[in-house]
Amino acid sequence: MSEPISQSEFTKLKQDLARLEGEARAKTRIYKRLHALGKSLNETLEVEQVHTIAARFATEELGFEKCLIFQHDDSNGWFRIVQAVGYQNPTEQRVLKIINLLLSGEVVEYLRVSGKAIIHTQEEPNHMVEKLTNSLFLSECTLELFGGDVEMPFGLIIAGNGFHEPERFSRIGTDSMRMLALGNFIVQLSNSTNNIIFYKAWHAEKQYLEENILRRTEEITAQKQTFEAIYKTSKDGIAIIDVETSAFLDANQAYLDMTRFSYDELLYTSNIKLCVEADRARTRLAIQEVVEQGYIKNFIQTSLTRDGTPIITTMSIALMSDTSKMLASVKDITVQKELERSLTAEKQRAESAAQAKSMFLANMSHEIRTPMNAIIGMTHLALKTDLDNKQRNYVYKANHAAASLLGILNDILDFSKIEAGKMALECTPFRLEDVLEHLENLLSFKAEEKGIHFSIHTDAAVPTALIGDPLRLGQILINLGNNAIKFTNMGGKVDIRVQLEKTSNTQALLHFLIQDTGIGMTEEQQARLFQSFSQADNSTTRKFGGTGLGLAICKSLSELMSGHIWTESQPGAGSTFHVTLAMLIQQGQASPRRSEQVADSAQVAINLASLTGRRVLLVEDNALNQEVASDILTDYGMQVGIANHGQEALDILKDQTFDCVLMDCQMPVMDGCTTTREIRKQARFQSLPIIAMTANSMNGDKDKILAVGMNDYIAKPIDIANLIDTLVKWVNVQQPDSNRASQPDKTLPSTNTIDLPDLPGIDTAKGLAQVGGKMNRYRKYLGVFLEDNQDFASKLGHALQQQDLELAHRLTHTLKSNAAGLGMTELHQTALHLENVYQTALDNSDELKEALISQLQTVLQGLHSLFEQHDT
Amino acid sequence: MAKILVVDDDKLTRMMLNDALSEAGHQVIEADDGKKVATLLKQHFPHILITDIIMPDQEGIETILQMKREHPALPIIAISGHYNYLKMAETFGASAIMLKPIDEAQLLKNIDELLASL
Repeated sequence: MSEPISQSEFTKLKQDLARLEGEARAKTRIYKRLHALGKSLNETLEVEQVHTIAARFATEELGFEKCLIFQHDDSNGWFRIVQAVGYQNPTEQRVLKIINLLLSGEVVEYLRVSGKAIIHTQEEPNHMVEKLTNSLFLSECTLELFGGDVEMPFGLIIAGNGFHEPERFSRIGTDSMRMLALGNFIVQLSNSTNNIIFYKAWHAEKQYLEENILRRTEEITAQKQTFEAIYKTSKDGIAIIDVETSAFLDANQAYLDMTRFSYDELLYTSNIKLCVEADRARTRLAIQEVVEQGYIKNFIQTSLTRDGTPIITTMSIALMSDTSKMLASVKDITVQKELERSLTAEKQRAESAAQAKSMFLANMSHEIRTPMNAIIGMTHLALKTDLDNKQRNYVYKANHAAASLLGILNDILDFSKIEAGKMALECTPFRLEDVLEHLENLLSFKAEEKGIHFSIHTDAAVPTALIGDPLRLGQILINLGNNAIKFTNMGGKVDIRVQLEKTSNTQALLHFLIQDTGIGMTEEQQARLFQSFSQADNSTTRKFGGTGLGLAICKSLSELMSGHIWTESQPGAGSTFHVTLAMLIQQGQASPRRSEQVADSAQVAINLASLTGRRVLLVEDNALNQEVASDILTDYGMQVGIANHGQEALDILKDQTFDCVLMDCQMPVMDGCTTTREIRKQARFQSLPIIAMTANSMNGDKDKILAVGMNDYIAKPIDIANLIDTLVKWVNVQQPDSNRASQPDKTLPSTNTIDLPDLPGIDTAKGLAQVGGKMNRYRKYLGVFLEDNQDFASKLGHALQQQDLELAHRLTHTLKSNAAGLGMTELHQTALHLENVYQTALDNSDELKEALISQLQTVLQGLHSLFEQHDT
Repeated sequence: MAKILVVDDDKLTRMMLNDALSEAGHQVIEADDGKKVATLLKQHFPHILITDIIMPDQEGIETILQMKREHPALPIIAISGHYNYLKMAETFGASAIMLKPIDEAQLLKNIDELLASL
């Protein structure tokens, strides 16, 4: 049973139903609207349009008075207003422009982190957004982020006012209904925005890729065109070759031209077939290398053209991206190679011509110097004879002329040597004072003769203990000094100054100034001055003589000494020649001056006297030279033996003794070097001084002379002072007294030797002479020798057993020295040999050692019996 | 007469030089090695040094170089059986060189000259 409904209840129910129906209609309506919104948003491709639609929807359908959409600006991190609806008032619009900048920080961060909307109403105000919403002319509002992601939202939507406006609310229905719709709306807005963003990004990417593909295609096309252009127009042959078969797959016109094949003929022909037989194996290896390494560069191959002409090619081959093919770039270098060959041949020809030239010079120097030697020597000797004034004048002039000619000859030879690059400088310690003294001796006489004032001045700072080539330094200074005197008239002045230009610990750059008050030169004349064969002008040569080579030689020499030469001059005002030369400075104790080294004139006299009675063997094929030399030597009291050639010298030496040999180098039958080697083979001539006389002035001769065992050399034509100096040096040092022939005062009276019996292996006369003929002392030494050398054999044997080379050497050295001092000639020679052997090795010395021991034994036995006899 | 320091590792050579020099009135100091030269110089102040070249410990060239540094004025006579070494000694500053066997007369002459130049 049910109770009947009252009227009031019915009315209430009716009202409720109407309300529910209204709500349902509103709901239906809003869902329809939302659906329509979704459709229109989906059709939109621009974010801006989405914003417009959304803002309109918020105001028109969701019943808000105002709606604002902010978009995040990636460039500065701020949110700026991109859409504002419901702001009609101009004041409101102006203010919105400022709000753009104000939005950041706290509010957005809160929304982002909470993931919820902020709803600000009169009943429940949100203090965080209160000020902001006031500024936006909103009393109530909702704020929410949309689009993008939590990290980086795309935008912010603010919709507000009208929450409680009944006439507008009625269109939507209840608040809860409206809020639900708002949530749906925001989701749609978010999705649409994101869709558009993603679409845009994808589209851009796609466009970028498409553009890229297009560009690459264009590039490839361009490359292909370039390659084709190169391929077609290149002067180098280009060919594509199959790796497997070496067959040509393609070739450009240049390659066809090079090989003279047609394209069809070449196609599928093997490259290896094309090259000459000798190169085939190499070519196969080269292809192998391309396969392994990817490329080969500058492979040289000789191939044959269609008509069989060989061409030399250089190939660079690279494996192509399709590794079954190779790309070869081929260049024809036949002409270049031929040029190279002809240049090499040309160079060889030029070199042998230069060689021939220097040989010719060396020979010519000999050919000229030999007669010069005769002329200078003969006239020198003639001047020593009784001549009347007229004759003396003639001979003096002939001698003088020959000397001048020699000077010119030397100039030409020097110049040739410089030209041939064969001028070598000495590097010996010397004193600058000696060079300058020599210069002064030479020049002051000439200057005086001509009535010119001459002086040499050396600055105090100039180091004078130097290392260098004093002869060449002297040559430069003499040349320049001679010139200065030559071109200066009577009453004038020639000054030579030496200054220090630069110095380091080891090196000094010296500056020599040669100043004259002579005729001077114009600038034009100065410019040509240091050229060969050139004097100030041709008339100078006629007036003043000379070869015109002197200054060119000075220039080359100074350059060889790392220096310079230049001149300052004015016509009529004299000239100054400047030379700078680099010299090494002697380190430690300076070498003594020559004047200190060489004894004074008394000593020279003694030395000269010491030549008296000495025996010299002159080996010389030229009869004139024989005569000159032997006369000079005889003048100095020497006894001269003459051999016409080397073989004769050897024969003479067999049964005559000499203190010294003067050896010509170029002789028939046996030349000087061979002869010297033969002489040195004999032990007894080990220390015989042999002095070369050589007309060869080319480089290397000096070394050769010393290498074959000669002790020294003098240049031809023979300078008498030099010859005598050299003889004194060698005869005195090398052979004190031993062979002096006719010096009865020096040899001992034979009675002195009576005290001694004949001792085996000892030349007692010689030994006694060496101790000044003091018999008691000689006996004493022989005693000491006997005592000291009893155990020599065992000492030496022990040293040899221990492989002690140094000790063996010292033992024989001492024995040699003692034997020499006591006149044990044979023992001395054997010990000398053995000492030399032990200097380098112990091997192959047994025979010599046995000889030494037996010789020593003989000597010791003799001495033993001598002293035993006396003791008993 | 002079005080002369003779340096030679060979006893016989020293004896011969000593005898010759003593007979001529000189006073001789002997050393058998170059190493002893510096000390002997300080003790005896010799006027002339005669040195052999090849010696087992300190050889003559070294001695000459040392003397040229420390006593540049001291005249040195180098003696040797090898001319090459003498040549070297001369280059390095020996005042005179003499080939062994030593010619006594020449030695005395050399010494007189060196003394005269002191």
